[in-house]
Amino acid sequence: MSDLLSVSGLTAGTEDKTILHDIDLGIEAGKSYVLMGPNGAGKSTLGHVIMGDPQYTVTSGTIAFEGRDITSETPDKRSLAGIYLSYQAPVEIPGVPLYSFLRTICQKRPELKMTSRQFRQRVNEVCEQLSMSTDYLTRDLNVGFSGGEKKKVEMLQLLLLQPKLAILDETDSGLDVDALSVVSRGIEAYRSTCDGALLIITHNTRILERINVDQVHVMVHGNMVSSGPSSLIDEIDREGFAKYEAMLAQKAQGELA
Amino acid sequence: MEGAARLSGVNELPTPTWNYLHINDVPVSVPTGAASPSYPPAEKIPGGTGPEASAWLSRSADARESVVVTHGQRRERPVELTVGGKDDARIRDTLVTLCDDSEADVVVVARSDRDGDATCGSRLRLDLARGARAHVHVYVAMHDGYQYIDDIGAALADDASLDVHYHLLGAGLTVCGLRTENVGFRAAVDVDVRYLCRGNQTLDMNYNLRLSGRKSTADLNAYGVLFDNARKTLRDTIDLVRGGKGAQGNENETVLLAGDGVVNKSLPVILCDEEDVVGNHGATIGSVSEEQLQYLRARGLDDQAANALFARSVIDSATSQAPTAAARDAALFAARRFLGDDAVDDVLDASGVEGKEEA
Repeated sequence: MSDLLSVSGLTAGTEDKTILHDIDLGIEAGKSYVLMGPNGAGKSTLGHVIMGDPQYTVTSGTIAFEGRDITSETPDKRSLAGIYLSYQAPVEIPGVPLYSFLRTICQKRPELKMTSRQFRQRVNEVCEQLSMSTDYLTRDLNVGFSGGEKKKVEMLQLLLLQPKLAILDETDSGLDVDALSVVSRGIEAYRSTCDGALLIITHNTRILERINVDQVHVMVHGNMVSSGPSSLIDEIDREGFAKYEAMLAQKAQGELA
Repeated sequence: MEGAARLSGVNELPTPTWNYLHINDVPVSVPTGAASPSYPPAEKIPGGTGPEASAWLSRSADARESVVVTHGQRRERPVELTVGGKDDARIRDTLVTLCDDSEADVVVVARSDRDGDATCGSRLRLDLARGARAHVHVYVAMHDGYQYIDDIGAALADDASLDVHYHLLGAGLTVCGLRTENVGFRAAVDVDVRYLCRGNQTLDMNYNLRLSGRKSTADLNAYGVLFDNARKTLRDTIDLVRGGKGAQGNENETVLLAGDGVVNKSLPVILCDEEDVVGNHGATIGSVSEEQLQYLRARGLDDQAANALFARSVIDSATSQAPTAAARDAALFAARRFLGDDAVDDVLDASGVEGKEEA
């Protein structure tokens, strides 16, 4: 089966520092992947580079989505093509009510166009699914929202936009047990309603308890060092990333020798 | 043929600052046409644009009205004051008197049918007796050749409340002034301003909320977006006058600068001549950040669509809150100007308003 997303030999970073080194990653439609690694491994950077964040520069390699090279495409085009990045720290935008924002981003996608009444109904349904009060809809986007509320807004967008690929960048960070349960429900709903592919970026395992993971990738210091079945999650939970850091060091020594 | 005269001291700051900042007042030229006698009953309440502009509006008014809502009554239909349209007055002078515990809505709409170079205006005085409640909506959406002067003055007795909702959606020059006076015990003033300014439009605002009553309160929130080469000045003053113990005033402004040539001037002032009072000011002023733009891009909006979203947010607010058909039409006129013809149906659709725009 051909990949929905194919990252080949990707090296990228900021102006003065290379963060990702020769990354290869394939994601098939409808499957769930987990990208794990210690803090500073480059997991979030990979998510942002796939989304086309201009603060990072790709120096070599390619990113293809549905067989089309999107390496030099702008983020808005990647989004409209069906890639969604859930932000670890969603930004606040004063003056833009959440409802106007949601309506606008859905209107940009011809496949999601619906009447006002249908849209309101859909938004209300999703809010209920996420145990989220519809009062939030009239408030400015993320302004004054708690960390958990912001993550719910990310889930709300995910369920409305129904992307082909959702990259969840540490969606679990800073959430209490109840908020984590709501977010997990959101992820399950996304998987069951639109059968989208998932790339979950995390360095803890609680959010993965309710998700059927097809494959796990491990990143250390900007390098993809290992891939394997979902049993890797339990192993990492028990033993941490030391083994993978040693693997990378060994590889580097081998290359030096 | 009409000549032109320059009004002085329009939207003048209560406490002038350095002249070189060019913020102490706004220069306004007006036609010197036939003037009718002034309107004495309203003179006791000063307006926000200042005595000269207020007197000019009063002299030049071609429609005058005095509305009285009697004790304990709720006026069912709003007092509708439209100016600038084909069959509208050009300048209105209106006094609304609310007796004890009465309530009314007042809707001022400044509109234009076609481009021209007229000066329009509204002089509104509100005299609120004990416990009276006034809800004022001001909509301005005119072609770029028009200038519009909106002058509001209000006196509030004990426990009276006034809320003013501005949707300032464009004219060549929009001048808005509001002043509260003789504010009584526990009286409350709430001002919400939403604006859009584009092209070479100028918007000049002066809100002077004087709190003289004990435990009186004032809240002012302004949000707007400036595009292209638009110029905007906001003077917002909370004046905690002697005698107003326990008074509280808050002012907050958020302005997005979405054009390379915009000029934004803000002068928040809190004056204090009394102890045991509270005055707060907060402001967020700046360009749309790269981080905010990147978030919107990641949701499928290019920079042009992001700017449209900022404009859309103000227009959605104007449409959904429009209390009359004329106000709604003004909002849709602005929708067409800022978002394009195709957006009008969608704005209507999103606001939940049934039916199409009136011709």
